[in-house]
Amino acid sequence: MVEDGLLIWKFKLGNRDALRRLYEKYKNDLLKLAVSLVNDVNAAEDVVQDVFVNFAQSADKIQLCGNLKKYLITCVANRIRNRKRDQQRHETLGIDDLDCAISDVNRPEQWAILSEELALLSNAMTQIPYEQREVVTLYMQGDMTFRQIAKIQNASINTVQGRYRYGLNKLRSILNSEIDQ
Amino acid sequence: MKSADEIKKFFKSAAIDTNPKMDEAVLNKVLIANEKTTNPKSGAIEPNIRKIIMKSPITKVAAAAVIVVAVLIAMNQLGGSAGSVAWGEVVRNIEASPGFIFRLRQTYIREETGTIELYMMVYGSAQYGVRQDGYNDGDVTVQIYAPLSDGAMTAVDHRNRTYSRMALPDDARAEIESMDPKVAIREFLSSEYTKLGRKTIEGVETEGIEIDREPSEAKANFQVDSCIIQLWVSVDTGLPVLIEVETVGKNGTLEVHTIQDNFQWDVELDASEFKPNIPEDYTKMDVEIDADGKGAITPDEDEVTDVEQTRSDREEMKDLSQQGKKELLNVVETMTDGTLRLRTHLYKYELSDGRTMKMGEYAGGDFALDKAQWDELNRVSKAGPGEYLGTYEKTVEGRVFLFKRERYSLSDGTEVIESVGTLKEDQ
Repeated sequence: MVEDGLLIWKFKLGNRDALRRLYEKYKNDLLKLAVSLVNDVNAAEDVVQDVFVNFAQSADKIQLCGNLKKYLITCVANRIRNRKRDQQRHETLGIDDLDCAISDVNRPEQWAILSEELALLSNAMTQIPYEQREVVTLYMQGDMTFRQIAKIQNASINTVQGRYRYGLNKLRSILNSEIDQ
Repeated sequence: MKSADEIKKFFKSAAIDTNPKMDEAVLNKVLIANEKTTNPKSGAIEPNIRKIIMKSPITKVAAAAVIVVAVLIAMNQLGGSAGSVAWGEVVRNIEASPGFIFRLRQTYIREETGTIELYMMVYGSAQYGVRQDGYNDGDVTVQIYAPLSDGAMTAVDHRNRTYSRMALPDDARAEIESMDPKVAIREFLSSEYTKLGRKTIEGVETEGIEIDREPSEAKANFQVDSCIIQLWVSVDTGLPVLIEVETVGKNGTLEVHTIQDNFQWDVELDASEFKPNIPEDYTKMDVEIDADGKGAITPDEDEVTDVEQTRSDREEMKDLSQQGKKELLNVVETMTDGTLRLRTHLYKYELSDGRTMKMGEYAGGDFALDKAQWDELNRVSKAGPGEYLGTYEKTVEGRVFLFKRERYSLSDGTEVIESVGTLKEDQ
């Protein structure tokens, strides 16, 4: 936390190395989170890149207080939600219809390289409703509290905890069957 | 895989790597984006330093004390004694200066309480004392005057249009008297130091030294673990160009970073620069500084202060509100994701002494945005209009209001829609 505070402070003063270090520090976590949420490497890369670009442009707006990792995770989650909402407006699809399977073929310009476990996890996540997926991912991977997730989802804590239970049960069942195969 | 813990472990172990070439490409985009939005360097963003801007909100009076403490800490990191032969010329150059101006940026980073960031210009005169101007978004937001001739400090808070006079404790007054950087830097140069060689700072060729100060020697109002000071002096003029102090304290939980730059030496400042400039309509606050540098409102000797007046006005308005004797002037609704976060009503009141006052009231909403989001929304909405989304009419408390809807996007991706309703009959 203190280290982040120092890096943000230096970044706000125009230190490009501080921005580079923040990028290096959080890019993998954010990419992993985004891949788990959208199961589309292309889209995940776009979202994370947008988050970093927006962060880089917001030196004067970024507050020094608070937890930077959670802030960036919230940015990723919000962007994915906005993206899905925009897609829904145009395609009139349900929020859960927007994922596509991860391609096994790595593009030469592909930024994120997924381990087998992550590909398995991400594919399994597509089989649970988005709201549940978001709760499970933010809680398990983003280390966010139910209260923080409730705020992102604009839902009560009880609802979020319910989504977590349902999502986790379904994920457990999917992963167990995948591993058994 | 049965337990949540096992699934969590699976989550954590599911690795991701990145293509180094793409890493560089994305980072490059990020750096370019940053470059395009970086503020102009140093002095270019300074407003006219003689100008007092009264429109913009700023830190509260309590923050004034924090700023003073910050400057005191920064200046007093420079303790020591005697002169250095190698840098003797620098000391003489400094001693020849009747006054000084410099910029001070300081950040307190603490895990539990977050961060305090300060940006100020400091004006000093061996004859008249010290004045500090605190800035927020380029505007002077707070000014602190500490004249040597006076036993008190005056803080003018332009955000809240208030001012206060604070009697300084003896030790604080003594520290202000010793704030002259001439003295501090002379003492600094006498300490054991390491030469850092040369570097160019803002186009000026400089030579630097570094002091690793013993924690017991570092003067601060907290327990110090380490304190590193760097002084960079112009090779050409032999005068300081940059001072950086990095202090870690409270067992590593507090970091204080200080940068003093944009030095101007050999300036003769007028006595008027140190005379508090208080607009007539500002309210006097009576403040005592406690040990933590926080202010507290206290009544005057006659127990009838402006603060008391304000309190009694508020009490009267509360009574009038309960009696329904108020006029609704406007309604502001703030929403995210279709949920009402805050609705406020602004009412006008006729007080018993004939004065007219306005006061806002909470009228609904879950208030679920966090402080940083409210602050950012406040800033962006003040900076200019959001994306226009149209208007609509609504009847509130029996009167028809015309609402104008605008959308603002916060840096964390949250979209906020703010609707401001004004009386239709006034349109």
